[in-house]
Amino acid sequence: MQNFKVALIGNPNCGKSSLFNQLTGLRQKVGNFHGVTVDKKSGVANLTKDIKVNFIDFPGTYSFYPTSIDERIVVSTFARPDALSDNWKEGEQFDAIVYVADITQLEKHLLLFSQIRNLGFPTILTLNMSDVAKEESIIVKSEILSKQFNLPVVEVSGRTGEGISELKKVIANVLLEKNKNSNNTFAYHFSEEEKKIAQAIQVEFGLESEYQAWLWVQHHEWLPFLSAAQRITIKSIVTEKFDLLKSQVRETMQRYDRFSPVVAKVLKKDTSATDTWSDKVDRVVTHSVMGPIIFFGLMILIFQAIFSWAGYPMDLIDAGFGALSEGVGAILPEGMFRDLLTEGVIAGLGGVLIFIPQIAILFFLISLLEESGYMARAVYLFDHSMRRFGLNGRSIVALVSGGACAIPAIMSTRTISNWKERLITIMVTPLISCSARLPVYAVLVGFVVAADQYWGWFNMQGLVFMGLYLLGILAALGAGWVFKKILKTEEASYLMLELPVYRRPLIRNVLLNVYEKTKTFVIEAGKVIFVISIVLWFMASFAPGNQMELAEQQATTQALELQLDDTEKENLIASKKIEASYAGHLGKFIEPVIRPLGFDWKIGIALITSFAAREVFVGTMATIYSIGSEAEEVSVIDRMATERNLETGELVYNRATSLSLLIFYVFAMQCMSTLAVVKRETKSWKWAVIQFLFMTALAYLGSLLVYQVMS
Amino acid sequence: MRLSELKIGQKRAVESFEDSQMGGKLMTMGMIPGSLIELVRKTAAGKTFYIKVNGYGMALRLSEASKIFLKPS
Repeated sequence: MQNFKVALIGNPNCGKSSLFNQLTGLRQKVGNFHGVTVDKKSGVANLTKDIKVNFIDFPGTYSFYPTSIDERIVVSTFARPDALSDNWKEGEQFDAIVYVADITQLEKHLLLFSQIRNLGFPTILTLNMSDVAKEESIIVKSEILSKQFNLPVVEVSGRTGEGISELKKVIANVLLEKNKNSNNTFAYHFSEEEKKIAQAIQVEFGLESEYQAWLWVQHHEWLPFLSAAQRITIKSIVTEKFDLLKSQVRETMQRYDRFSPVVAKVLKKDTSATDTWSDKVDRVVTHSVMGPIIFFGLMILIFQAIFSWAGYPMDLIDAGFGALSEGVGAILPEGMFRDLLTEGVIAGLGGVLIFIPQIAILFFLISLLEESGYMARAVYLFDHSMRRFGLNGRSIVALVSGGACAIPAIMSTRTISNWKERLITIMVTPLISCSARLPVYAVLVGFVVAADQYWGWFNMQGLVFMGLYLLGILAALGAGWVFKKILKTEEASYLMLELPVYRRPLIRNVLLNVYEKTKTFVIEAGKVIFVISIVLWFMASFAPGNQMELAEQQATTQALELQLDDTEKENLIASKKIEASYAGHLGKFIEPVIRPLGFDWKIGIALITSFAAREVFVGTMATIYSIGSEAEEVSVIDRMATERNLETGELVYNRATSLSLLIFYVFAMQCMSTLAVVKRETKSWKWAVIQFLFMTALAYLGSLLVYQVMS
Repeated sequence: MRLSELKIGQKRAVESFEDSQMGGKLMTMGMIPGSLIELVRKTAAGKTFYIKVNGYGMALRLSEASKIFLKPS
């Protein structure tokens, strides 16, 4: 058995992912490219009995002149000094490149291809979307193309699987031959000045080709593998007055001039059809008035779907973990280990997994919209409005995803090339009400308005819910506007977005996408929520000195006096214990600060625990009000509804306090996992800390205002 | 004329780009001098353009469109 590594490269929208899924099936995993947080999908396929290939799916890229972090990967991988030798020092060694081009837009997809050819890798040109080409009566003479470009050319369809077995055979042949089938078909003809510089760099660093040296020249400012000393050397050779941009344009023109005639020769295209099906759809969907209406209609449908479809599986998961906790509790002997397992570990796991249905459904619907090509239209429609708030049209994808979970939403911002706009999108996305806030809203909304209250036709609770979501959106836009005023950047911002032809989404692609995103959420968020649950359990179960024992004794005596039954007694003990615990102490410690918001120390505990993850709120409330950790929302609500202030005798959860608490949850950054992802994506704690501070300040001031006005 | 002055439905070929950084990026996306541009529609505010470049859809900002020179017909 021989093992090989093959890179899959192509322009955005070339159907590369479908092809990748066809080649590798479910044998995929997602990692990171060396040193950067760009998703690297890899998958294994057996080409023959003896040949096993690891395919690496590179992000869609237009050329060796990248404009976003995702696009930089191709150049930084293949411009490595050791890229062409057989022993890569740090990078990965690739045995061949499968270049994927869309037949229906062959010409523009050949630019990157022609650049890659100059690096001398064994390459296979794959003409994708052969099924669409047939429908549109596009005919390619691939034999001529193969001869002209001097490499194997295969027509495939990533959608139908047509030509895949042929492609596998061709890849196997190329791998076995090991000939580098490099040639000078596309050699870039340098100008005198360019040649001097390229050769100087090539000699200085001992690089294999002039073109590779040229990539060092063009990208020496950021190529991650260059040392500071190397950068200085390159700068001294290139000099300030040399116009890199101009030579980039020259190179691009020269390449088009080279392959355009070839494409004209091999491609027969029926150009009579001008008004396609896709154009007809766009006439409605991107209409200046209808477009936005359709978009908001879709969003409402999506959120409806999430809340109506996810309920049942969520109840199942909840019940499952309840049963598991009980089962484990019954098997194990009483003691600390049992409590840790049932109240810490299992409860923590349940807290993570309960969100899978909502997140999976949201990603399913969003990736349907993305796969079909609709998202690009949404970006077109809202780019201008978004920019007023310091965002980019592409931010709309993140803001919509943020309705499920900020973590994958923040990861989706990598397609925004302008750093300032990307940063602002990352900073404000967590203000969009995510699914973790829902349980909190559900518990508290009842204390603000009664379930049977109506305002005209509208249920008041529904309106409050909608109001909270709107408040989150407004806060996100407002914060974006402020950041726009504060942050300064010289970097140009572009829209320049391809509006691909609508395609029926491939269910296989969509499901794989849902699977990956959900897995990311479970792992990324899970780690944190899991650890925090254990810490919380510890804080709520232990107390300084012997206060725990004292609290228990006190409660037992009190229970005897009041002649409570067993359950009531247990509840009283639990409640006294949490008051004595570390968590109780902390709650009382911060009480003076949160008093002006209408919160007591018990709510204080819930706020502290919620800073790990919002959804912990309900569980914490259940523990504090001693109704057992498997309490249903209903019993928590019932218990909270009767809670009175010991001194004044007033209800604790009056309208003012409850609304104040709701406002706090709308604005506050209560998710450690998101902070961790923000740190990872912005490469510093600075922005995570700023985000935490501004959101907490917003929450505090918002709640203060609401409570002081209402009480 | 500039692309921003194009009327809906009108077609013209690209002549040059005022901003070469933007031009470089557009060229990698398939818009090169000589490419045929058609203005399909604009958003309500008129700030974003839906164009076709040699028949392929693309979205541009008004600011970007105003830096693209078109050949006189």
